[in-house]
Amino acid sequence: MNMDNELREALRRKQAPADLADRVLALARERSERPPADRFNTSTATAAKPGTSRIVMRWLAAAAVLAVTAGGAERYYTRQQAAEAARVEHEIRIALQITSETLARVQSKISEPADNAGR
Amino acid sequence: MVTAVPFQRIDATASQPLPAAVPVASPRCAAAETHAESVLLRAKAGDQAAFATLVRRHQNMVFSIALHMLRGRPAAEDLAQEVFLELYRSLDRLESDAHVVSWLRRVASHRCIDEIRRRNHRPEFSTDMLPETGHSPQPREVFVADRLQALVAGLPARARMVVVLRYQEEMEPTEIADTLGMPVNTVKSHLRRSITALRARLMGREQP
Repeated sequence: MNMDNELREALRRKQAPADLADRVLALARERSERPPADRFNTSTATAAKPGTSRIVMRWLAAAAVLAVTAGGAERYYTRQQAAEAARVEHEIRIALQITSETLARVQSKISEPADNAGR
Repeated sequence: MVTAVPFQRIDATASQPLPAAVPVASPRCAAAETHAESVLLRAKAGDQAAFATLVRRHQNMVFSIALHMLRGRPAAEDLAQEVFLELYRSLDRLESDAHVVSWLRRVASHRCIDEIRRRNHRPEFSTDMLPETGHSPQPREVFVADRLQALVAGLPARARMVVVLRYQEEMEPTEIADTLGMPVNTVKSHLRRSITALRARLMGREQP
């Protein structure tokens, strides 16, 4: 038995239905001639408006969240700056105080030998 | 071992082949080619009659690929219909009638494989399986073609597609590889193993 010939015989092209081309054309016409809006059913079409407003609401909510976050960040930044300024001011005060005390001590030591020599 | 018999090449671009006596470069052949190109051009320009001509020219090829793969006329008709609808939408991208043929084969093949995988309930036998025994013999003269079709339909999807393209469309392994996007050696391996398995199964049925 020659399998090649047997297979060729078994898998010969078969006749397609005579109206296949007409069916394809009818389907093509039906699918391409409908305006895009008609491809959706009525319930989908009427649901379009609520869908749009829902999207707008989502955008508004996102914008609000963004504004609150930005405001909070700004406030946090200002507070941080004020706290840093206060800390620096406090350190300067301490430094000035230390300097002043040191100067007073130096001055008193300078004046001491002069007092002793006078006696 | 399978001995590959060289195929006689046919003009796959025409569903109704020209008479064998007509030489390749004859005026009739050239005229047919020109006519095919003009049909494609008119179809691309929106001429529905030309598109119908295009469908009629290739419908047997697409329908037969689907029928041999899916083994059911309604499913094959539906698939062929969908393939031609996709062709309708893709006409702008096709440059020649030969391009249309290779495009149709590729799309039909992939859709068939997808459909078989989607169904996924049909029992398939591996090409490695040994022939079954214990079945009653059937008269070869009457049943061999039907039996072969049924056995081919039981091959795994990709192996089945390779066999269909090879024996229905008389395509070379390189062309099949290109159509299915697989290495040539894989195509050859599918062919060899499929034919061995088909022969074993067929003989197993035939011999009591």
